[in-house]
Amino acid sequence: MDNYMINKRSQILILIFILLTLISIAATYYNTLILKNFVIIDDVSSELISDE
Amino acid sequence: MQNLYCPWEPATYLFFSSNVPPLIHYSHFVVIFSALAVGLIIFASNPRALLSRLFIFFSVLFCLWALLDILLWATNDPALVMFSWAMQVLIEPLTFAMAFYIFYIFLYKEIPSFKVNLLFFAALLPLILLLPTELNLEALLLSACESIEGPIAKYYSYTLNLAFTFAIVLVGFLRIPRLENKDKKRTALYFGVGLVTFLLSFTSGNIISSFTDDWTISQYGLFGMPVFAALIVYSIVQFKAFNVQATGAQVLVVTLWTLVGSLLFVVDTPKAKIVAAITLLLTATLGYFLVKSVKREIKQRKEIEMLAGNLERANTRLKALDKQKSEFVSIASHQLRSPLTTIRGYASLLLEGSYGRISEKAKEPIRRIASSSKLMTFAIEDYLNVSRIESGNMKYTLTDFNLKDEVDHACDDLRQDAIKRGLALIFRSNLSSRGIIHADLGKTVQILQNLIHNSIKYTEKGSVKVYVRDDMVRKKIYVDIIDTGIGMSQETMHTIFQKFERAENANTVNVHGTGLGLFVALKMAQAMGGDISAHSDGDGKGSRFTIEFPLAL
Repeated sequence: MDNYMINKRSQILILIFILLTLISIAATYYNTLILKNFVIIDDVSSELISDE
Repeated sequence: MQNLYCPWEPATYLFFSSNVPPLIHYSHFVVIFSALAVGLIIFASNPRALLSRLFIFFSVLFCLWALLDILLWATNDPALVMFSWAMQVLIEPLTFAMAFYIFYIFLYKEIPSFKVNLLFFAALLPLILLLPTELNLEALLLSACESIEGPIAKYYSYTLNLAFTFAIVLVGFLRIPRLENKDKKRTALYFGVGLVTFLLSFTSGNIISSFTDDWTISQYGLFGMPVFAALIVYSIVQFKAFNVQATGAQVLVVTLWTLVGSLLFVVDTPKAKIVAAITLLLTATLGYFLVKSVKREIKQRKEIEMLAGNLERANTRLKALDKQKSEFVSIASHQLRSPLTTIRGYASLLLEGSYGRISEKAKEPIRRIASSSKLMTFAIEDYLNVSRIESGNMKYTLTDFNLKDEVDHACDDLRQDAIKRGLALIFRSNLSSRGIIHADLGKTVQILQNLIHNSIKYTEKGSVKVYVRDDMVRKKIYVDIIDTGIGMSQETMHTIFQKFERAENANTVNVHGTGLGLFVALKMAQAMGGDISAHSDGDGKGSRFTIEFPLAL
């Protein structure tokens, strides 16, 4: 790795940023794919394809 | 609610379904390949460099976005659409931020300051915190399987994209004009223009799609990536940007693979797929050999360049050594000449009886001292001349004079020597002109005497003929010195004018000689616009030396 200087404060900032991003992705994943907690506007009810 | 699906068949292998137009696959895979190719080329060249790592991360982020986009076209699962859409909203500004960091580090060779980092952090924070909320994506429209975007996705994300692009333009304007290296400046310019073109086309495609709800438009925005890739690759080939050693051939082959490979995803019929696959196979094989042969040639060229460099250095060193040697010879010769003059002077005075009568018995050794020191003086004069010629210190005083007369006088001077050896020295001339040349008189006489004397020395019986002739067409005058002496072989003729070279059979008739006389004569003649050539039919068949000078008309 080349010798780029990065100060401590920036390192902590980047770490917090990465952590928050990962939490946000996990929350989105949980909210959409697991809980399926979102509104669906059903504008094709007559042609609905259900998984059954 | 959870059981609702969009009105088409589920996707196969995540990316393929009847809902995806063939052009979507083509446009996305071409840009994914080109982004990955450039990212990998830069990363592979120096995996430990920060810039290489950021670049591959940037390429991967963009590819992820493009893959999510195909997935969004293909899937009929609303939950997957909501998740992928949200991820796209996150990835897009991250790609832009990453582009800024890469460009900044490329230009400044340092990581942005804490303040800049904090600014980016603060700008991205609302997006990250509100990503899972309805402020990002409000709902899903089932008929089109599209998310209805909230203010974060619709306004904030695009504002960030434009702001980051502006930041890139700003650092480019501030830094590029200050770069000193011309190649570095051009590389930075191509890089910056490519990056901004890509980012603007990417985001504008998405903005238009977002506000018109026509998501087919966004795919055209992706074509900024091949433009960016092309500019990066051009910088790499032309200016060795990112310290990557790539050739045009490698780039051409990878581009061909990308284009032919992406055809596989577009063509519909099985026959066309087979043709595309065979073409890809052939392109891959031929490309492999092409790259291999180009690499070999480059390696050879580099080796030759290295050898040439070594040779040049050795040559320079040799020239320096040769100069030192000439200086040494010059100093040594000067030191020898003064005592020799004294020896010759006193020997001459002794013989003349200036110091009283000398017995007949003592006269012979004194004569030998005189003649040997005379020979030594000639030898030293030769060394001095060589030294002067090689150091460029030989001075020529050019005047107009009659060459025929000088040849005649030289023959007269040397006739006694010829008679002593039982030879006839014949002078003839056949001139249409007056025989005037523009040269150094002293040096010309020296050349003439040297050559005529040589012929007398190396001829045991017969004659030495000296002819002066001219050629009015070529405007030249020639002096031929033809003898019936020992002659020389073809090999000797090629080397006779080189330093310290004497005819192979020279020692059979004449033990004296430094092998410098002809070298000095030739160099002097050439310096005065003339030349000397030698010819012989072989050993024992005599020689002909021809001196030529331009006529002064």
